[in-house]
Amino acid sequence: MKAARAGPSAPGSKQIPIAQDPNCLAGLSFVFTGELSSLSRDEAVELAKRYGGRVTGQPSSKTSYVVLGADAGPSKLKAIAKNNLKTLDEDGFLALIATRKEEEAIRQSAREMEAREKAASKAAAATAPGGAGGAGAAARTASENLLWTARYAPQSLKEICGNKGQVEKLQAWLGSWAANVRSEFKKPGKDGMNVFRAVMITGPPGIGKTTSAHLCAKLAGFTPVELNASDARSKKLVENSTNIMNTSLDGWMSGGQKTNAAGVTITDKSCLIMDEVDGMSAGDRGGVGALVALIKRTKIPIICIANDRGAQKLKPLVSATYNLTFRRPEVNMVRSRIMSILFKEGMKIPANVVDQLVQGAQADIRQVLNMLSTWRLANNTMDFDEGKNLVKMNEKYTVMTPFGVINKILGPGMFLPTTRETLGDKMEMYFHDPSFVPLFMQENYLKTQPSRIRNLDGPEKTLKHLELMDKAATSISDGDIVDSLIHGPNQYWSLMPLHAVCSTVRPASFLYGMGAGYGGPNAMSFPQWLGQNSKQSKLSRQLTDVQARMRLKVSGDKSEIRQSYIPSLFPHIVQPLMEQGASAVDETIEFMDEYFLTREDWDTIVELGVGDHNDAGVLKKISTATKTSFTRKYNSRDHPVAFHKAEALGKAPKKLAAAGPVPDLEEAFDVDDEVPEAEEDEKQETDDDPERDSLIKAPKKGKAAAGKGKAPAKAKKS
Amino acid sequence: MSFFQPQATKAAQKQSAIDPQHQPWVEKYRPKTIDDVSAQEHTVAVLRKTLTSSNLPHMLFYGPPGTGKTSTILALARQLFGPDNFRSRVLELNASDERGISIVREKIKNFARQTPRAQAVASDGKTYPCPPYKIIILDEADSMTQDAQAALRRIMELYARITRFCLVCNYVTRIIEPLASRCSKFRFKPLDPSATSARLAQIAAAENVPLSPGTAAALVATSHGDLRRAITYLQSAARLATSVAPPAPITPRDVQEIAGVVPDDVVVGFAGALGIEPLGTGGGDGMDVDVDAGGKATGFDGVRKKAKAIIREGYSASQIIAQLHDYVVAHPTLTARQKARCAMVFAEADKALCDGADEELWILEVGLRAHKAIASDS
Amino acid sequence: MSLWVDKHRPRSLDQLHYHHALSARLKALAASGDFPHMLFYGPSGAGKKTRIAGTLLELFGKGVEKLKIDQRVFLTPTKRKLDVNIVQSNFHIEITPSEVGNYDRVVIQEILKEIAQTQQVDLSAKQKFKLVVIHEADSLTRDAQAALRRTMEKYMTNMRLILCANSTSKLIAPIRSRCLLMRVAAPSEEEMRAVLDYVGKREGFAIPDDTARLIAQDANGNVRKALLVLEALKMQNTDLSSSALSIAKPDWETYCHKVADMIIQEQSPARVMEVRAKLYELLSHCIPPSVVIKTIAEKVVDQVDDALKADIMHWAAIYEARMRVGNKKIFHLEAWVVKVMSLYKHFFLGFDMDAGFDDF
Repeated sequence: MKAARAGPSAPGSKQIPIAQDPNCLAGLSFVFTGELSSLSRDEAVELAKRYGGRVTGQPSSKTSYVVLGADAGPSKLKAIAKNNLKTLDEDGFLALIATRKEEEAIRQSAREMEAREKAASKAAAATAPGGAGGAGAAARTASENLLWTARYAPQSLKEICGNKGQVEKLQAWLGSWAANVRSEFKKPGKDGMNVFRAVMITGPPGIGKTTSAHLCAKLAGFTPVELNASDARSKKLVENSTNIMNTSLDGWMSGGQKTNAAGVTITDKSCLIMDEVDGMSAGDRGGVGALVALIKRTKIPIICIANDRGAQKLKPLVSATYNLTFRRPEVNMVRSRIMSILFKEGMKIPANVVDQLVQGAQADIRQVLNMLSTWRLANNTMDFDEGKNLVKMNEKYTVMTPFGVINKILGPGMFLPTTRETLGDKMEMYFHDPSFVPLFMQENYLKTQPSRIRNLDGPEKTLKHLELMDKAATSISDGDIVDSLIHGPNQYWSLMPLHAVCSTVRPASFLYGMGAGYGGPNAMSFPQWLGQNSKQSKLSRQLTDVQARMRLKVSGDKSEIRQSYIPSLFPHIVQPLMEQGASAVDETIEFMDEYFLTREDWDTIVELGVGDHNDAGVLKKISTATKTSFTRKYNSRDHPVAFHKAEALGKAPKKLAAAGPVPDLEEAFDVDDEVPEAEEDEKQETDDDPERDSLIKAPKKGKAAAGKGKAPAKAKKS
Repeated sequence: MSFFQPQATKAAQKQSAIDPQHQPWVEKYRPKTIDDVSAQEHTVAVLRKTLTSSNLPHMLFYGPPGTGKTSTILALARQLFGPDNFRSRVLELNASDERGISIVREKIKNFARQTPRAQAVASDGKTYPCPPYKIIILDEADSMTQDAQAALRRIMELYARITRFCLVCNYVTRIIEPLASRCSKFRFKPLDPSATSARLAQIAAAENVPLSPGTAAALVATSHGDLRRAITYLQSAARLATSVAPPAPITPRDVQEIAGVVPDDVVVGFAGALGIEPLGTGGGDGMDVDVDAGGKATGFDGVRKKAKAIIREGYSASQIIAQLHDYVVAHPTLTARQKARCAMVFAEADKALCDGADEELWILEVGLRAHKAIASDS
Repeated sequence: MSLWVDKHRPRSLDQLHYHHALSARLKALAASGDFPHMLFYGPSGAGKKTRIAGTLLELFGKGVEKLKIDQRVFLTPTKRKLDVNIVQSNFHIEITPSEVGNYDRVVIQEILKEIAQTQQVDLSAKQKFKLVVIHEADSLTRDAQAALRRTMEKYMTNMRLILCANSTSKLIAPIRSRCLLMRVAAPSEEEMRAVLDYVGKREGFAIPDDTARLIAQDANGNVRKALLVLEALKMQNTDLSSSALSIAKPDWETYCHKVADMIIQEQSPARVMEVRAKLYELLSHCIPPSVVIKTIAEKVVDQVDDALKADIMHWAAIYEARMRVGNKKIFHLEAWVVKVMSLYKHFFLGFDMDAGFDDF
């Protein structure tokens, strides 16, 4: 093959013909050997592919043509002789491109597909039992109006692309269901599957999970009942709507058939398909739990379908079900299916373009079909380049993790003068996760070795570095102000791009350079802000409690308590325990009672310390014995409480209405306004004790209070 | 609670009815007729004509607070309809009432589309013009949302035959253009000192409060042409003065304290620390030595000390800055450039304080920057 | 066993040690029967709440000293539950609406409406109105202040308000003009001395001049702080006259000073990250960010050249103001730290930085 590497002897000497048919090589496979005189090997391969040919490395019996150049490899020549293959020289190859139209062969393969299609539809009609078959026929007549994805949904197991093993397992499980029920799920069976009452199918979207589940159920003689994300699936609804459990009698009353809330008849030959279980979200609280409970008792098979097996909320399901993981089918499995569909639709798209589409969509059959059905609206054909563009247009949008984003944007490549990314692209990085990326930026912007100061050294470098840091930090601070506008009361969402620049792009533009992931010393870390913030709100809440308790004694507000009182209380209620141990416990408790502090408040006070008073350090100095004695003694005593438990404001009027006999009395005397006054006055005497009375905690006495309120007014008037 | 609440409120009403001494003087001395309105001659003259011609346009009253906008329209409405029809013919909504778009769509629209009822016989025996339309007064209209204002546009046109609108606001720029163009605009100017003091004297006489000229001047100065504020201050001062056993006369200092005004010597002292020579010392050659000596003592630490002292006294930072601003701008010997720089500082500080920034830091910031500005080129 | 500051708190207006004119005025107002809405303002620790308590005592008598705390639950329009602690006696209640942040309007409206609609319970009460004390009134949102403004007029007949605030800057003008303003200035050093001496005498010891001056200077007009410091000093040293006396700083202040030292010692990205960790520690332990930046700034300023001081304070003020507007305080604190480091390093190495203020 040395000669091959020598390159063409007369590059460009022959004109490459314009093909009459862009797919003129469709259905042909080529092997190139030896050195062509005007084309390089790569050009020739590209050419063959462009016109729909397939290029393989070694000749075999399936090879249509071997293109021979100078110094062809001897082994290939041998194979040619053996398989009796047709050979071409360079001129012949170019002539083929120039003259060959779509050949007989492709028509033949298309005919095959048509036949197969017919057979498939026949098979589908045969397999779908009873009413479903009728429905299938009806659907077929109206199929022109259907989406392609529905129209070409597989009708038989044969038509499902890939995951053969999994589908077979599913089928076997459904087939042995009746036996499993009888054995009460005791016998594991061949795959250990038969002890499960439910199966969970997981896998990426568009690879036929739902379709497989439906088909298998139908084939095994079950009626699939599907509940998907469009149905509400909260705990209650799952329990009620899938009323499978014969828990209520009406099932028996209506002759063994009942209808659930979703309007689907459930028989013992039903199969419940819970589609998109990972979509059981906020509104469907408890849904997953109810589903698990259901699975434990079900008498009918349940198939759950999800995309992501690892999702947190599916944890309970994973252990309750048998897991079938569906993988993306191989490109060639999908190709044939797509080709036959294309033929039915009268579209002429060469196999290599189809391959490209399938690959671009990551074997998501549904997406390929959608792409093609859209394309069909305008064109009937598609060539290589168009296919490439279409794939690019439909490129799956992959979300990067914040770690990925931060590594990329702070990396050395993003802001070089030669970089290809536009400002828009950089801002796009922020939109991968607008709430996290700024936090990551703030956490990590100091961890690079900035490219901008690479050529400096000495003090100049330090100064420049500080200057860059300053600019970046200021920009981050700007970003936060923008953020508070976005999340403020007015919600200026249109400021998001500005936030992207301030919080992410601009700081990165100053400090980009070698960082983690590019050999820098500091690894990017998760933002501390989240943890610190929740710690702050927790402690702040506790401090509020402490302040509320101390309030009767102390006039300071919350920050005064923290800044002045807690440091002053420390020597009284914490230090003695540290220094004198258990002997100081009594004194400490007395002091705490003076300020209405509880044992929990003591913990808070310790926890609020910083520096020398850091809680870990302090607690280490208090012996365990002291601590237990402190807790025990505290709990064994009574303590003054300055507190009344919470009382819901909304309830007050209700209580009032039921306040007792007073209204009757007043009604009776209502003729004369002066009488109730005397009565209220009497009552008033007993209310005199300030401890029992209050201004606003008077829902029970609100009536009396108002009556009295009226009294002085009248007194004044009269 | 429902069955006794009406009684309670009734009682409360009765009580307030018999207790006029607790009534704010601002309400008590609200003008009864538009002729009583102080110092808005032009507007009053125009409105007086409407009383006779009974042809009223939609109106937009704008101007600084306390210049009599609401009083004018209320007095006008009272004169037009009389006390008996007032209730059914006038709808007054101010900012503290809910005024979102839903209110505009329901309450205002409903009121606007009612045909006014026939004129009730005036019980007090006077005759009122009582023209065949109603008036809707939207007080503080500039705080209405854009949406709510937009919703008003059609209402104003559709029911123009039977309803007139009067929008009252401080900032005419916050009224959307289509609304403003439907109204005839009346600008209320800040009251000049003589009008304010005349009105104050009138009230003081009615309330039996001795009012010295100095006190009146202080009230005028602290109220900045806002009559409502002046009257409120007067009432507070009177309250303080009469609460002591032998009623003390109201001093100008009382008024300043009530208004939260920082005493002049504090402001001058602070300005001194910034290197601004005190006013009234003549600025002659002989004084320069003193000022320089003072200026040298006041570096960073001097300013900081002064700022801390001000905070300790509890004066409001925004008040200090406002007064310092007045002082600097009116100062005779500072150059325009110095004043401009100081004004810049004051503006920034005011914004920061509005956002709730720390007072001590910002007083210090103002001090340091003003100090630098004044030291830079004098 | 209480701390001295609580033990020796004056209970009535007569017992107060300074601002006698103010006390006389309050007494007169309380006696006059025509009690207006009031706004007490002044720096922290100047004695606002003590004066309010004294005024209440004048108005209602001993009954106001029987206090209890009620916890009330309010529902926001979005059905969120809010817990609010209310201190109350028979005659008045005290609320701190700023505890509930942005929902303070709900609390203000509900409580005040409720109180205004029920009248004074106790016929033997000296006043026929009830009193509502609103603490931290300067941190009320604009919404709440607007609600308050309307309420103040509407329920004047049977309710009076006393607002308590550190500054009037953040209160809207209509509220200020509806209240009688009561400025409570911090005591001067002499007045502070009088308070200290009084407490010393009650506790049975004399305070030497030097010590008293030291405490008064350190407290900077905050009586509460002064008394707490005095007690701490007395606990540590039995002899207050020794010259080696030093006032122990609270834990957070020492910590802030440590941060300041760190900024001066080294200026590098690694150091910024260390400082950031310390700042997080302070913030998460409920030290308000403004206090953090102020304390650190003052400490830094003490250690740098005169030429830098103004710049450092300038940026502290700028970032403090930004902090109020922004959400994530640490971002602004850190930006300030980096700025200071950069300034310091430039100055130290003799370069000029174009970050100084307003050279236009």
